[in-house]
Amino acid sequence: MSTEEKQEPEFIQFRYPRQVTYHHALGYQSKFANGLKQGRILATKCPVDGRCTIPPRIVCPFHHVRQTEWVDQGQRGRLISAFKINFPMFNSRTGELQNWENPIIAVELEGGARMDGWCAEMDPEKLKTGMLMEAVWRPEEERQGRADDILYWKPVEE
Amino acid sequence: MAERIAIVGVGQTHHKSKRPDVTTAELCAEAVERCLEDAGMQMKDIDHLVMGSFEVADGYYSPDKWIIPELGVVGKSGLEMQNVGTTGGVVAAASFNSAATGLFDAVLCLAWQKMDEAAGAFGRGGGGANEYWTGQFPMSPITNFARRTYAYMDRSGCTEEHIAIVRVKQDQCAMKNEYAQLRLGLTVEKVMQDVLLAWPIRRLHMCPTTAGAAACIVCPEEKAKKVTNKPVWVEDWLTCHQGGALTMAEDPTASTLRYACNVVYKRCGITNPLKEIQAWEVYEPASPAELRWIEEVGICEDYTAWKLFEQNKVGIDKEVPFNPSGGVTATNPIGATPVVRLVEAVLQVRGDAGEHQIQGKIERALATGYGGQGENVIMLLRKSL
Amino acid sequence: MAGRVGIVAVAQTKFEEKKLDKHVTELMYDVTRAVMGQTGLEFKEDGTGIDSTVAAAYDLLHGPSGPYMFLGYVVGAYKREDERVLEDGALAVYYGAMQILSGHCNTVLLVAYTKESLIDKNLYEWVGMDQIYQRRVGLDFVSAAGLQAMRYTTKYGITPEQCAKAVVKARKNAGNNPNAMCCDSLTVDDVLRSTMLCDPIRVLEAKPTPVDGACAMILASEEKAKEITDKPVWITGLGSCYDHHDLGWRDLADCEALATAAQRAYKMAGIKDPLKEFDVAEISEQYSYQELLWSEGLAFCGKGEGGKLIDSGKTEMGGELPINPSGGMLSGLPVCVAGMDRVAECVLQLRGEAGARQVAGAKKAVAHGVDGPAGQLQCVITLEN
Repeated sequence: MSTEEKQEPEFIQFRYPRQVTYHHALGYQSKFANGLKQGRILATKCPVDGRCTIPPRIVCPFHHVRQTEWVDQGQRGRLISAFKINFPMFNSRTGELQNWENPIIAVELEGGARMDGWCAEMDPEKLKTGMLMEAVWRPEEERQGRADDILYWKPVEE
Repeated sequence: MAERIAIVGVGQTHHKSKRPDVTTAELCAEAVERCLEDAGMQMKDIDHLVMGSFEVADGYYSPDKWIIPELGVVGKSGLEMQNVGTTGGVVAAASFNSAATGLFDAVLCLAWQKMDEAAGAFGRGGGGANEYWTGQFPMSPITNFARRTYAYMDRSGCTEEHIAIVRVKQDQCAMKNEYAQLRLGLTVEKVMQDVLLAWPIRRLHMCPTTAGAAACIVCPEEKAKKVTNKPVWVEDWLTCHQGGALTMAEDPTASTLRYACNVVYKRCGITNPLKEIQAWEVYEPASPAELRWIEEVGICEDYTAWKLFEQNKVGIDKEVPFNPSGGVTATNPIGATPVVRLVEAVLQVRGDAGEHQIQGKIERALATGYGGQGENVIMLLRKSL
Repeated sequence: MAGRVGIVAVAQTKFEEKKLDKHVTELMYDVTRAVMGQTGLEFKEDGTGIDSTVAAAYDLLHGPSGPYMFLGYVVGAYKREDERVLEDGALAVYYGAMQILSGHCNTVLLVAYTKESLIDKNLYEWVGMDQIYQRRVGLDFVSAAGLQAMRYTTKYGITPEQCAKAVVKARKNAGNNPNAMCCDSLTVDDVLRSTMLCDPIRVLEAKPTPVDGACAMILASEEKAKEITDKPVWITGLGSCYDHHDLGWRDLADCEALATAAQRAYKMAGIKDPLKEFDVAEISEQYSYQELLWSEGLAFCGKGEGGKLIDSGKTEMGGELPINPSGGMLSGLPVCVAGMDRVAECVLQLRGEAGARQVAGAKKAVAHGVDGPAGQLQCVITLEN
C-alpha cells in the first residue's frame, strides 16, 4: 500500500457558449443617444451650479436635484488627458478582442462637460494638455447612439 | 443594544495567481479554517455570516448559496454583499454592524475571489464599468491608473524612476510576507524596463490577478474578552463611495480617501495621523497609487510623497510604515483584498505579523478598501479599549 | 442608544411587464425621491439627513460588469455610507436595521430595484446553481421549484386545487392594489388548465415574468423615527437562515430554514402563536405551492397542513390571517424587489394606508423574503405599530 497517494488536481471544463443579450431601455438617456445619432453632443445640466455632465445623469450627484435641462456641448473641446493601451481589449460594438491603435483622450467641451473619446493623432508625444480638438463623426447612417459614433477627435489649428 | 466590537481571529490563504487544486468553496474553507483555529473557536460557535466576492468577475451568480454548505454553515443566519472593488470593505463593515447590534455572539466575515475559472465570460476583464458610457471604451483599472498617474506626475516632480522605487519597496515588503503572491526580488532597473501597458503604467506596477480568500471573526465586547486575550478592537469604520458621480474623464484625481479619513479622524479625535496610527494597510491597486494615498490619509503634503521614497523613509522599519505586507500590488483577490488588508492590520496590532511586523507598540492600525473610480472603505483598529 | 428601529416612509413603483420608457436609474430615482419627500430628509453631511444607503440589486441582471457601482449616485451614494446586499430585498431591510441597532447610523435609506426585462431571468438563475453538479444537469430555480413542489405535494397529499387557490386568491387581492400587475379574475380551473411549465407547476402557478419595478423605504432609530413621523412602524423581530444548496441534501417537503428563521424573528418579537397574533402576512411566493409550504415554515399551521390552511379560508381577506392582501409575487413582482416590497406592504397596512386592500385594525404583521433555489435562504421580519 502506498504511504502517500499523490492526487493530481482534477479539472473539468464546461463550455457553455451562449449569447447573453441585454435589452437596455435608455429612458431619459435616449435624448443623449439620439443626439449622437444626429451628430450632436448633449449633456445634462445641474440647476444648482450649472455643471454639465456626460454621461447624462438623472440627478446631480452632488446636490441630488433632478437634471432636466440639456445643453448642446458644441463640436470642439480642449484635451485634458490621454493614454494609449498596448494590450488587446474588447470592442463593445463588435464583441471582439482587438488591439487599439488610437489613443483614448478626455476632452473638455465648449459647454463644460468632459467626455472620453478616441484620438486621431496616433503619437501620444504630440498631444499636449489644452490642445483644441474637434469631433469627427461616423457617417450618419452608421450611427447607433453609441460612444463610437464620434469616430475620433482631431487636433485643430488655432 | 449598540456594542463595542473586536476581531478575535483572522485567516487568509497563501495567495497565488491560480489555485487549480481547490474549488472556490474549498478556497473559502481554507481561510475559514485558519481563522477559526486562530480564534480557538469552532464553526458551531459562529452564529452569523457576512460574505462576498466580486462574483461577476468569476462568472458566478449568487455564489454564497453553493459555498455555504461546504463551510458547514447550514442552519445559520447570514447574507452576501458586493460592491465591485470595495466588496471586501463592505463585507467587513457589514460584519462590524452586525456584531455591534449585540444580536450575535460571533460574526464570521468572509471574502474570496477565484479568478481562474471563468474565461471572462461574464466579466469584461476590466471589471466594473458604466454600461451606458465608459463600458463602451477599452477602459480598465490599468487605464484609470494611467490617467491618475499622468495627472500626479504632471503636478509634482515625480518621475518614472520614483514609481519604480515605490514598486521595489512594495516587493521588499512582500518578500517578508509568506502569504503574498508576488515576491519577485525586484530592482529599479527591472521595473523600469518592464512591459509598458499604458504610459506610464507598466505591467509590474499593476496588481496581479489572484485566487485567494480571507476571513475574520468579529465579536461583541463581552464575548471577545472571553474568546481571546488579544482582541483587536474595531474603533470605527466608514464606507465612502462615489456611486458613479465622477468618471476618470471628469476628474482623473477623484478619490474619497481624504474625505473618508477626515471623517473617521474627527470622530476618533485623531489630529496627527502619522503619530497616532502606527500601522497602515491601505489598498493601492497600482504602485503610483501608493504615493497619492500616503498624501490623502494625511501623512504628508499633497504631491510630495515621492520625496519620502527618494529619501528612503517608507518601509516596515522606517518612519512611514505603509503597507508592510507588500500591499495590493503583490496580492489582489479583488473581492477579498480589503479583508486581506484588515487581516494584515489585525496581525500588526497583535504583533503577529512575523517577518513583516512593524516594531514598537501598535496602538492603532488603519486598513482600507478601494474600488471603482476612487471609492473607499475605512477600517480603524485599536489595541486597547 | 439605538432603541427600536422604525420604518418611517415607503414607496413603490407600479409593477409592469416592461418599463421600456424608463432607464433603471429612473426607477431608482422615483422611489428614492418619494420617500425623501415623505420625510423631508435630504442627503446631508452633517448627520441631520440620511446617513446611509443600503441597496438590494443583482448586478448580473443589469449588465456584466458591476453596474450598481455607477448607479449609486442616484440613491445618494456620493461620499456617504453605501452598501449593497446581493440578495432579495428583505435581506436589505434585515441588514439595514442592523446599521441602526449597531449605533452606527440614525437613518438608513433602503432601495431595491430590478428590471427583469433586460435579460432572461431563467438564464441567470441557472447560473446560480453550483457549477460542478447541479448546473450540469440543467437545474435552475424553476426546476428546483418543480422538484420541491412534487415532493411536498406527494408527501403530504396536497392537491393541485389547493395550490391553485393561492393563485386565485393572489390575483383577486391584486385587484385592490393599484401597483399590482396582474389582477385578472381566475378560477381554480383556469389555473389548472394552463400549460404545464415544470411538472407539477403550471404557467399560471408561476410568478409572471418579466416584471420591472423598484421599492424604497427609510429606517430610523427610535428617537429619530418619532421626530420624523407620528406613524412609525417598528421592526420587532429579525431572522434569517441558510439551507443546503444541493437539493438532494434536503427533504424538499419541509422548509427547515424558514422555520428556523421564523423562530429567530418570533423569539425577538415575543410571538408565540403567529396565526392568532399577526393581523396580516406578506410572504414571497414565486410559485403557488410556496404559499402553502411557507405558511408551514412560518408556523401558521403544522407540517403538511398548508393545504388545509388554504382550504379553511383563514388566509383570505377577512379571514383570521390574510396572506398577501397586495397580491404578492403571484400577481407580478420582480425578484430582489419582492422581499422589500413585502415589508413595504406591511408598513402600509400597519399605518392604515393600504386603501382597498387594508386589513382593518392591523397591529402586527410579518414579512418574508426568500433567495436561492427552492427557498435556500429565508428571511423573516416582524413588525408592529
